[in-house]
Amino acid sequence: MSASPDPAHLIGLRFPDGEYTITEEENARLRDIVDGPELPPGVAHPVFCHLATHVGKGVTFAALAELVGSSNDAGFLFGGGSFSFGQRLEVGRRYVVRGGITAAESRIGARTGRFDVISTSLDLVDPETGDVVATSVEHYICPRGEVSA
Amino acid sequence: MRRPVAGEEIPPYVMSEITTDRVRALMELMRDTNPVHDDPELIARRGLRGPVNQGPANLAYMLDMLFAWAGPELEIERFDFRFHEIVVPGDTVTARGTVRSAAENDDLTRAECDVRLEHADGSIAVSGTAVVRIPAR
Repeated sequence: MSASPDPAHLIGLRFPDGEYTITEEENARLRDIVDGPELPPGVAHPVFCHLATHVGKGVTFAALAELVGSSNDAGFLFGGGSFSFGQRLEVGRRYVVRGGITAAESRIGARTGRFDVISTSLDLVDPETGDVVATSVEHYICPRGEVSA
Repeated sequence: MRRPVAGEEIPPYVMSEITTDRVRALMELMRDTNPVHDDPELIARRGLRGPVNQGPANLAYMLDMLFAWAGPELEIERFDFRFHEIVVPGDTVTARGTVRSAAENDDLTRAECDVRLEHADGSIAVSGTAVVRIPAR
């Protein structure tokens, strides 16, 4: 595999602003899928911090992989991250989704060879107050091939 | 619930019904066409054990452990996580956790917890930390 460019050029790339409203039906559907507990009326499951930003940012997983020069076949994967909440997510409330790529660095693993870690940060924002209600930071792993001898 | 204390073990939360139907249903909910979840050819080509259960589903089992422990009024303040191994339909996974620290005032307890999702053989699928707020009742 040829050498990949320094991924630092990706830092600062913003996704198009989007929006997402967690519906009662979606909240119930997620509860069924993960066999989860019932939450108080109007409260959305906190994992919607990922789902709402993932869908609302308008860039699919495959498109994100392509954007950073990777692909599903190349082993592009979601490696970790964090959710932080200023308040609980609510069913039926519209959130603006905004964010982009905030970090990108190359690493070398003994078993994995060279890979890049691309980090995105996406906020769910109350459109009326402008307050950030929740933030999803996600780290994606992009294998870049073997290390040259 | 009584207030949590540092060192307290959080009761394990078992998910034993991970199915391909559930993986597909979450793909629909997430508008996610990633073939690692449902393309047998790609799954074989990448040497995976099976269709990959979505990371967010694995995170939900860990969060649901916290709700089962502290009640539905629990609020997540922060959740940091790292994926180590995939989970596939047919696996049984168990969410486990320990209270690392807890501080209380009149209205709530704020607890920092080490959490993990384990396979049946004890290997770690996901690890992380959660900071939660538990209202006093």
